Order: sequence, then C-alpha cells, then structure tokens
Amino acid sequence: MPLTKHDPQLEQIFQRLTAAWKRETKHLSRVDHVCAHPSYLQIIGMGTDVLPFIFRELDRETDYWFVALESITRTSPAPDGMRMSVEEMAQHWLRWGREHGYL
Amino acid sequence: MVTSDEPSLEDLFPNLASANYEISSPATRQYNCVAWAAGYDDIPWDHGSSPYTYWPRRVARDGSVASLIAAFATLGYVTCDDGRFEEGFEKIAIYGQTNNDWTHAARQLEDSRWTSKLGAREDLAHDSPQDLVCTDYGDVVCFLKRPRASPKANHP
Repeated sequence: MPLTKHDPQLEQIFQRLTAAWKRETKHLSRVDHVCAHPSYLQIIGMGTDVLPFIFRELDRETDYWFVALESITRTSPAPDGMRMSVEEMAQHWLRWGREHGYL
Repeated sequence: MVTSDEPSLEDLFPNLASANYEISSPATRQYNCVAWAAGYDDIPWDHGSSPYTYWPRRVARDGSVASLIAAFATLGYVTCDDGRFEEGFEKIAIYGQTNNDWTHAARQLEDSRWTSKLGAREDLAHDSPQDLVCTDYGDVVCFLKRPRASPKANHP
C-alpha cells in the first residue's frame, strides 16, 4: 500500500510545477514535446510520493500524465495492443490508482 | 487544486494580435492539430507508440517534417507551392522548427480561411497560416494539397 501521509510542502511544489507545465505546454501538440518539459521531468523525479497528487489532477482534468505515471510506477494499465482515446486511457489509470490506494 | 494562469492566445501567438480569428471549439486533449487537419477529432495523431495516439502504418516515427508529410500522403495529399486558395482543393500548412521537427498543422477551409487545433487548447478559425507563426511553432515549412471530398483514411 502507498504512503498516505499528507505532505503540504511536496504538494505545493507539485502544484507549482504542474501549473508551469500546463501554462507552457497546453498549446503544444506533440506528446514528446509536452512530456519533455523541465517541470514535467521534475515531477517524474519526485517519484512515488507525488502519485496521489498526479491521480487527483488527472481526475480533475485529463492531460498527458501517462508518461509520468508509467515512468514512476513502471507499469501500464492499458490492455496490450488495444487502441483507445485519451479519455479511456485516463479512466484505465484512474481505476488503477483507486485499486492501489492513490485516490 | 492546480490553478494555471493560462496565457492568452495572443501572448502565445503574437501575430494573432493583428489578425482576424475566432475560437471555434472548447479546449480538449482528446485530439490534436494533426488529427484535426486530417479530419478527425477522436484521437491525437502522433508518431509515438502510445495506445492513445494514432500514426499511419509504415510511416517513420522520427518526428520530422518529412514523416508528417508522409503521414498526410496516406490521405492523398501531395506537396504544393503555397497556401493560396484553389477551388476544388483542400490544403494543409505544416509548421516546423529549424531542426526539422514538425510542430503544427493547419487545414484550409472551403471559404479559404484556415482551421487549427492548438494543442490541448481550442480550435481556431484564422485567415492565414502566418497567424500562428511563433517561437514554439516555428515557421510554415511546407504546403500540401489534395482534391476536396477525398476518401478518409482507415482509422483505428
């Protein structure tokens, strides 16, 4: 089970990085350009402690969190070989997050 | 909750300040500019191998302008000289950076204007491809065209 201790300082850093990432990439189209933003990479570097924040944010607004989630959790909940919409991918991850106690 | 002080479109695309444009859809991540230019709004077209994106088979996944041209070629587009309106033809403008990375695509409408999906932000109707030339999108590097009412690609 994940740690559930709330760390306000960590959450503040996550929110600041997420706001910068969205502000500076929301108009970009390429997944690789969006997910190579320095703030996004810093969030990945924060590791498993930020997973509750990522899931909460993904639940609030669908966005390209999947690269970060795969990098941190080293898994993917999407069935192999199945093509899906961005929203369906988000739902797969949110279900996984609930099952693993992050939401 | 994350609150992002979203920049205005004219901050991101300075040429819009003196352009004629209208927002024509809500913001969404469900599709991107290439999908929209290709005529789809259900999945982003992207050269990555993610299950939530589409890329035509046998087209290189290197992110280059040449690969994006090849992707549109699967829909019957061929390169052309410019973005001037031609009766009976549909045109695409491809944007790229100096390193030859594609960044954006816009499609010409039947009234000679252009339509663009701006990443996860809104769709825009605008008068000229030059309206979206900016630091992040780079310049218009290529135009493509095909006869209007061409058949759609086999989509996943």
